[in-house]
Amino acid sequence: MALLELTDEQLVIQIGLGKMQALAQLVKRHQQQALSLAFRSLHDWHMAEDVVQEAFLRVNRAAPKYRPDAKFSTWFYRIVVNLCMDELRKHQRRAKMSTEANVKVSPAMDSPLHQQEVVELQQAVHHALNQLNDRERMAVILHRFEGQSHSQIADITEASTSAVESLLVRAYRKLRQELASFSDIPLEKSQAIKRPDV
Amino acid sequence: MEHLSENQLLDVLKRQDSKGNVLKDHISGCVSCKQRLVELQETWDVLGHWTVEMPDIDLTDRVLKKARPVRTVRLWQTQTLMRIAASILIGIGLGTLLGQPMPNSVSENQVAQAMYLDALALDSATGWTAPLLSGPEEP
Repeated sequence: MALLELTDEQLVIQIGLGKMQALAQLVKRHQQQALSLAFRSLHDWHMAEDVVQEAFLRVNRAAPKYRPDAKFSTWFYRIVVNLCMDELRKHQRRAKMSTEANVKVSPAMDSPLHQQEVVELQQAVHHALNQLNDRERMAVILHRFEGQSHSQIADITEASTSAVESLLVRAYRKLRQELASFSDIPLEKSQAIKRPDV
Repeated sequence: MEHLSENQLLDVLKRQDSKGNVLKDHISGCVSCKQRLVELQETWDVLGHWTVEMPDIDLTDRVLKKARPVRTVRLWQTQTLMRIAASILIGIGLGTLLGQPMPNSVSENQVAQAMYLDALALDSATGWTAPLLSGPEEP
């Protein structure tokens, strides 16, 4: 059976048998989402790349003992989240992102917002997220940006669903206070944070 | 119906409410919950401004370069390893036993005493071997 047709769980079993092409296939499938999660947590593309690379290496090492009891994506997200949390603790980074280095705004001709306003808005979002503690911020990132449900976040973070719900309620309250002055700005989809050119 | 919890409002926002229209019906008839949902929606939308343009990178080569194929140890390999280890241990044990040097200070007499052979000696009290060992008597 071609690797493309295999499920994630079947690919991990193949990795456990020493088939490196299965690992390559798994990387191709999940790297973008993992990078997005890691970048939102760490605010640094290079750190995000290192974290995601290490996550895949851990999958490779753990593959022979892998039991497909849980979904691969949950397990993999858990590895990425734990690595991000470790990294945050290690560097004592409270998501101090260097906006100048990481934020590039793509000017949209049809946008009602001026470029400067967009930068300010994104900085405000970053600032608001930085007011949260690491666990709250991770819960919001998984919930708002990665589309995970409460129970999925609980599985990924190895917490109870009620604990996750409390975290989210607390976090969204703080965010609402922080972002109150920006709430009447219409959402545009054309502005994005780009990876800086290396 | 009681007012909705914030988690229920979040579910409505993400359209993950398992109760379907029940929550929406409540919201449409409840000014308080409607207001709370609007506020939450505003925060939700503002957060949506933080979009990330994914970099054009592929980690596949990097990962494969650092990853080593995992070798699974099969049962027969384990058994073979166990046999080799057992053989080595037995060899070491036997070698230790056989390699012990004899003490030099033990004399032949002490050995003979230990085996009660001294009783057969010529100068022993019994002297049992004397007739055999001594030559024929001369007339």
